[in-house]
Amino acid sequence: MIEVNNLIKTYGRSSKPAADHISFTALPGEITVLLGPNGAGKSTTIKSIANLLNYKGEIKICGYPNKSIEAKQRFGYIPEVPMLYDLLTVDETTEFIARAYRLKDYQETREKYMELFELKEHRQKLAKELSKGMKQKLSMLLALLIRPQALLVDEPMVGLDPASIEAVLKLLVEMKQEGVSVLISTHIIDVVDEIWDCAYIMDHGKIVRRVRRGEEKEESLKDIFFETTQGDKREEDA
Amino acid sequence: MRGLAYLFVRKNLGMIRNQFRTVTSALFMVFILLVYGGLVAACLAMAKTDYLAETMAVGTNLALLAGIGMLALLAVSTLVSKRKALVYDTDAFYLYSGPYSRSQINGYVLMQTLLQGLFLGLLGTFMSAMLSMTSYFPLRFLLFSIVVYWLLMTFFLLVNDYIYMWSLVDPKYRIWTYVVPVLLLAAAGLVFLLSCMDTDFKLKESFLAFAQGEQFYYIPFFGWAKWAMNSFIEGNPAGAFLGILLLLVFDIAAAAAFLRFDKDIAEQAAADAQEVTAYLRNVKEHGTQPVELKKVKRVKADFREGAGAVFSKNLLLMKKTGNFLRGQDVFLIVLYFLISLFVLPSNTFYMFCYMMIFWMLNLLNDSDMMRDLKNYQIYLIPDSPFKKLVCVVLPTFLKVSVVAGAAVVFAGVFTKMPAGEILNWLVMILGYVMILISGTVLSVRLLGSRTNAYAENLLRMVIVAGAAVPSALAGILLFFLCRNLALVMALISAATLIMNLAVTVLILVCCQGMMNGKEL
Repeated sequence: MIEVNNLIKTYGRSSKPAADHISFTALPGEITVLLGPNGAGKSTTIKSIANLLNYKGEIKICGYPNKSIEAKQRFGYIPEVPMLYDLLTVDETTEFIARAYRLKDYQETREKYMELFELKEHRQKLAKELSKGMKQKLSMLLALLIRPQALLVDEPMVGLDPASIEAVLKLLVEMKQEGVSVLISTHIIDVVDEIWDCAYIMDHGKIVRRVRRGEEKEESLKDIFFETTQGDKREEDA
Repeated sequence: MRGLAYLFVRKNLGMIRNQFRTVTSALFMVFILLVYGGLVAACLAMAKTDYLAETMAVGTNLALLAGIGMLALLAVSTLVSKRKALVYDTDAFYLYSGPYSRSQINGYVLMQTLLQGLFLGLLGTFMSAMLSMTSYFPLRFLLFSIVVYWLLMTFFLLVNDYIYMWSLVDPKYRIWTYVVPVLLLAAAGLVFLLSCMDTDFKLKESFLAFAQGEQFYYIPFFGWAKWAMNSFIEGNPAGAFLGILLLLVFDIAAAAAFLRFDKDIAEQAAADAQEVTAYLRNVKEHGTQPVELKKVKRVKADFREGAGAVFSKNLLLMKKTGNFLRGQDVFLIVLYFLISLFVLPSNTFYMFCYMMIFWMLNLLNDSDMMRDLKNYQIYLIPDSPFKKLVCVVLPTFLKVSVVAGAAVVFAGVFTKMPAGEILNWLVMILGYVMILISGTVLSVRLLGSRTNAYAENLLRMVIVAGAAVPSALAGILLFFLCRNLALVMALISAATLIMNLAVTVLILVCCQGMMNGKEL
C-alpha cells in the first residue's frame, strides 16, 4: 500500500507548489493511476514517493516511511528515463541490483522477466549497446526483480513497441492480482484505459477528482478527464 | 540570412543570460570574470609601457612564444581531433532541415567561427599577458595582440572546418588534417635547426635564438603573428602591418573557399553534430570522456551485498575500462616529474608533490564517483546512507591514493630524499586525497542539479584551502614553541592528515542524507 498524506512540493523559489496538498492511497491488489496534463504534478508526486525529492507531508509504503530501508526493500521504481550504467552488461546490471538489494533466489524471477522482455539474447550486451526500448525494458526488469509489494511507474510506455506495451499491461494486471500496489503516472489515458482500478486526476499540482472503476457510468475515463481538466481551463479563461 | 544572423545573436545572448539565471551561477561567473579580469588588470598595472630591448627582449619574446605556442597546440589538436562537427545538434537540426541555402549555412558557421576565434584570441592574449607582468605589456599592445591572435586562430578554425567538410565528401581528404600540422612542425623544426646551427648547437642559446630571432617569422602563420607583434613592440609599423596583412589575406581566402563549398553533406554533418554534442555534454556534466566500446574488457563480475555492491560495481567498471591506471595519467605524472626536475633541480621532490595535488584535482572529475553521487539507483538501494556514501567514494579514494602515493614514493626515491621526508609527504598526499574527495561530495550536495565540473573544482579548492588553515596555524604555533623545523614538518603532515580526516568524516556524515536521494 502507498499512502500519501498532505504532500507539498515546491521547486526552488517558485511561489506555486508543483504538488499542492496531495493525499491519496494506492491500495494493494489495485492499479491506481495518476492522470493529468503536462505539468500537473504527476512525476513530482511519483518522485516524492520514491523519496527523490525534498517535500513536506507524510508518505508511507507498506506502512513504513518512504525513506526507511524497510520501505526501499518493498518498492520498485520505473522512471520515465532509464538510468543505467553504460558499461555494465544486462547480466551484470541485474546481478548488481540483486546483490545490492540482498535478494535470495532471484534467478528464476530474473529469467522470467528476461524472457518476457526479450532480453535473453542481449544479456551479454553492454547497456550502452541496447536500443532505447530495450533500455526501458531493462529498467523495468530491475524494478520487478526485487519482487516489489509496491510499484511506482512513471510514464511506463515511452519507447516501447506495441507488442511490448501489451506485454507490460498484462504484467501489471498479473502483479495487481498478486496483491501488489501499482501506481502509474501517465498522460496517455488510452494506455491504462483497460487496466485501471482507481484514477486520480491532477491539474495544477492538485488532485481535482478521484474516480473508482464503476463510478464512471456512461462516461469513459477520457471523457471525465477532459471534462475535469478542460472545465478548469474554461473557468480560468472566463 | 537575416534569420540566421538573428538566431546567432539571440543564441549567444541567451548563453550569457543563462550564466546569470541563478544566483549561484551568476556569482560564479562574476567570480571568474573578477579573477581573470583582475589578473589582466594587474598585468597592465605592473607591466612597463615603454619597451627597452636590452632588458625586456627575452621576457617579452618568451611571453609571445608562450601565447603562440599554446594557440599552436590548440590549432593542431583541433585539426587532428577525431570528433568533429560544424555546429551543435540543435543548430544542425534547424540549419539542415530549415529553408536555408548551403552558402547561408556556411555563413552561419563562419559567424560562429569568428566568435570562437575571438575567444581563442583572448586566451592567447591572456597567456602572453600573464608572462609579461614584469616586462612590456601596455593596453594598446593587449588590444593589438587580441587582433593578431584572433586572425591567426580564425584561419586554423576555418581550415579545420573546410577539410572536415571535404572529408565528408570523400574520406581521402582527411589526410590534410595531418598534412597541415606536419608542414607547420617541419617549418618550425627547420627554423629551430637554423637557430641551433647559428649557436653551435648549444641548447639553451639555440632556444633563445629561436624565440628571439627573426628566422621565426618564416614559420607560416605563427611566425607572421610574431612578426606583427614584435614589429608593434619595436615601433615598426610596416612589419606590424605586413604581418597582419598576411594573416588577413589568408583569412579572407579561407573564408571565401569555405563560403563557396556547396556539396551535400547534411546527413553526416548532422550525425556528427549529435555525437560531438553528446560527448561535450558528458564532459561538461561529469567531466568524463565516454569510453570507446571496443576498449571495454570482459571481466568477471562479483558483487558484494547491500551498499558493498556499489563498491564492487565501481571496481568492476575500473577493471573493464582500465581506468585504474590510464596511459594518460602515467604520461602526465612523468611529464610533471620532468618539469619539476628541470624547473627546480634542487627541490624537484617538493615541486612534484605540489603538482600531484593539482593532478588529483583533475583526476577526481574523471571518475565514476560523480555519476554515483547523482544516480537514483544508488539512492534506492535499501542500506544505510552513510555506508552507501562510503562505498561510492572508496574506489576513487583507493585509485587516487595508490597512483599518487606510488608516484610520490618513486619521486622521493629517484631524488634520493630521506625516507622520513617521503613518508611525511605520502601522509600529506593521502590527507589531500581525502579532503578532495569529500570536497567533491560537498560540492555536489551544495550545488545540487546546478552542479558542473568547473563549479565543483572551484568549491573543492575552497574546501581544501579552508581545511589547510588549521594545520598551517598549528604548524606556525609549533615552530615558535619548539624551533625545530624537521619536527614541525613531521607534525604538520600528521596534523594535516588528522585535520583532513576529521573534515572528511564530518562532511561525509553531514552529506549522508543525499544518498537517500533528494533533489535528483
